[in-house]
Amino acid sequence: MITVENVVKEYGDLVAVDGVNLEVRDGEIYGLLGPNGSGKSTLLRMMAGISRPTSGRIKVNGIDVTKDPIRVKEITGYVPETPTLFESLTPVEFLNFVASVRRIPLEDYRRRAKNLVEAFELQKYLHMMIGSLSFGTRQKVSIIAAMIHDPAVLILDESMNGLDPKSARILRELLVELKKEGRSVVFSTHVLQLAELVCDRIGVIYKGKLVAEGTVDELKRMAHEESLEDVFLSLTESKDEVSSIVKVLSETL
Amino acid sequence: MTNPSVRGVNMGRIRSTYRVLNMLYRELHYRILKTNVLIAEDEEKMRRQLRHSGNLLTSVGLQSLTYLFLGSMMALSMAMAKGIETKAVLFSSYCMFPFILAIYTSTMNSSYVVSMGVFEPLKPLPIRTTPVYLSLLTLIDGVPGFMMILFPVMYVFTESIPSGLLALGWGLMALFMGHTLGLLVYSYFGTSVRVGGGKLGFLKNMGKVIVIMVVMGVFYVARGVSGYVSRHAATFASLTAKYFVAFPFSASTIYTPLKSLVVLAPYVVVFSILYFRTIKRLYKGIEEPSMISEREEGEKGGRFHTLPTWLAIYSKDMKTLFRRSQLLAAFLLPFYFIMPQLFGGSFGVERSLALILMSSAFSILLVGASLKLEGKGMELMQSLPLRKRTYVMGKLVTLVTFPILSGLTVALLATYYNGLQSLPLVPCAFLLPLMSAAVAMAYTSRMMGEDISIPEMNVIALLVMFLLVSIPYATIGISFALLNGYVRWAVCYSISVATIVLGLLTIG
Repeated sequence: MITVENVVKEYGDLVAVDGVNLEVRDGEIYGLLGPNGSGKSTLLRMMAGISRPTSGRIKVNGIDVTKDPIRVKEITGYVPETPTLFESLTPVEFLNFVASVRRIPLEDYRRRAKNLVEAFELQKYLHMMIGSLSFGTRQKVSIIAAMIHDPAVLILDESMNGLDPKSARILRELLVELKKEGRSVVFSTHVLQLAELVCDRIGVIYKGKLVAEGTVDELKRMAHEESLEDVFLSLTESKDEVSSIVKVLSETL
Repeated sequence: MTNPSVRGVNMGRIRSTYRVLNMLYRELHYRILKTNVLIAEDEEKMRRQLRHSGNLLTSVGLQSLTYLFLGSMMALSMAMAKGIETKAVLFSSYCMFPFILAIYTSTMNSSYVVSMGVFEPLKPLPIRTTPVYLSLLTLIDGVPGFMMILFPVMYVFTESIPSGLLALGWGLMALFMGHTLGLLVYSYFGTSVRVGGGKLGFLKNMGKVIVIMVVMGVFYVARGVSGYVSRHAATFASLTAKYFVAFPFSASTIYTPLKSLVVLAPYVVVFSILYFRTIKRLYKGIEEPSMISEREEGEKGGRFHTLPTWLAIYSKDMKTLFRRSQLLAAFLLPFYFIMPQLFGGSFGVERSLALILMSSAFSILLVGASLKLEGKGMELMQSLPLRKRTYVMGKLVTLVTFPILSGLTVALLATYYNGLQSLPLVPCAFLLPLMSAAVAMAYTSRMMGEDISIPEMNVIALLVMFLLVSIPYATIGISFALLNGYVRWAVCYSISVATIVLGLLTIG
């Protein structure tokens, strides 16, 4: 479970996250939607214990991320928006490194690595430099690295980007399996259909604030809209803007 | 008379070739700089570096000037050499420099051009990306190496014009052969660059280290070669007489022009054919990249393993270093400082200890570089349950590896030449770099704050670290000045161990 209480994150004058309150329950997939620069990634990074809130409190399975970030990182798997990997290592060397730092028992590590590598069809890339791999393949390495220690909480920041349909489907099914096992999953995405398909609840974040939260049906009712896309555009004040931009463009072209 | 319109077309073509080449050169060096995590994160540094290394004329011109200076000393050595045989042997040994540099730059640049896709943006454009660009782009950084033998060639001209022409011919041939072989090496073995590990990978990395050392220490090597060849002129003369057909001995035939011409001609023919075939093969590889070799993981998954955390960090750092030559060059700096000693210096105890102290001080200069090895991967490190102390300890081992190796080289050479009285230097080779690194990392971990991060390593931070380390350094120096025999070594070891323990306790 993740609880976020009145969390604010400031970078100088910029308020990236502004008083967010939310809860991701055990056995729940929580989707975080919002336009670029709305504060989603900052919030997810704080949940993963990578950066600290300026004020407020985040607890992951009861552990305060500010007080004990190492413990939080031990039980959390985090997949960043852009895979941040060591490009001069091969995937197998990289996974060995992550497993070593996470001190995963060797047998468990080998078993999980083998299963995940096979699931994401990474076998033939295991001994190639990460720097020479495609974005999608790097993303797979990043996802495997985040799941290799069997985390209780999984945080994914637009992690479906670049994945081929088969791998995206596998990841999606995997998230559902993790949910069934009682783990918490939180992920951000721009693919609204995916959020609609997978998420139990969705939070819409705009200009650092959580402007709406609920199930897809609740959000539709709340915003008086037919589709999640319309809900999103309406909540992020973009609906009229989109119409006027399309009008100008159609006149120009 | 040349048709002005034809001349105009030719000039226009040369200009446009130069423009495209300059643009490709800038792009190539931009992409190389981007892979250097020590620079890529700092936009201002990046812009500054690109201004120098991304401009074809400035970059090649400045390098050429440096090499011309070295060449003037070589020419001086030739002028001072007694007998035409010694001069010929010296010249043939100098031809090795453009040869080796051309092999290195052609292999490295080909590797970058292909792996970084420098030609990719040109592919959809209606432009003729002929193999000429590829050849020039991979050769251009080797040209300064040729400048090195320009003065020796000019010296030969002052003695005899035919010999001078042949010296020029052999110099150009050395460059051309190096370039062709560099391309050949890459076109046949280049794809395996992407496959990590294995014995071949290790040998390749070792080869890279040696070439970087030669390039970095070209000044000392040039001086050493001149001295060595002059001292053993008779041996070399008999060798060159026996193997005059083989390069570089073949270049020593310059003073017998007809013989030299007969030897040079087949080289030109063979290497021209080889060059055109190689460049065609390489360009085809760029136009339609072939699948690189793929090894599938064995059923047992034996390659999945774990290490203690600090060792995992160290292992990652070493792999990163050996696979990125720009980073490795910075870490090899301690060796650069001991090179004068390796090439004919004295091996007295005090002098050797001073050298070990100096190379130990590099632990401080390398702190920033060792932390920046993470590059963009720092976010990943921060997402792992990694305690600051463990991280810093891993970095400490990375930091001391090269100063220890360079110190150990000095200590072992001193022991070899001086006997047992220099043996106490061996523990110093381990203790002194560890002492510097422990102090430096203790200070750095304080600068990091609560979490692992890359603190700003500015001049003040470096000065503070130097000041902190200078305290035990000075104490060791004073004890050596005042004490004799084994007591001074005991004091040296005690101070080192005490400082290391104190430093390690402060980390975290």
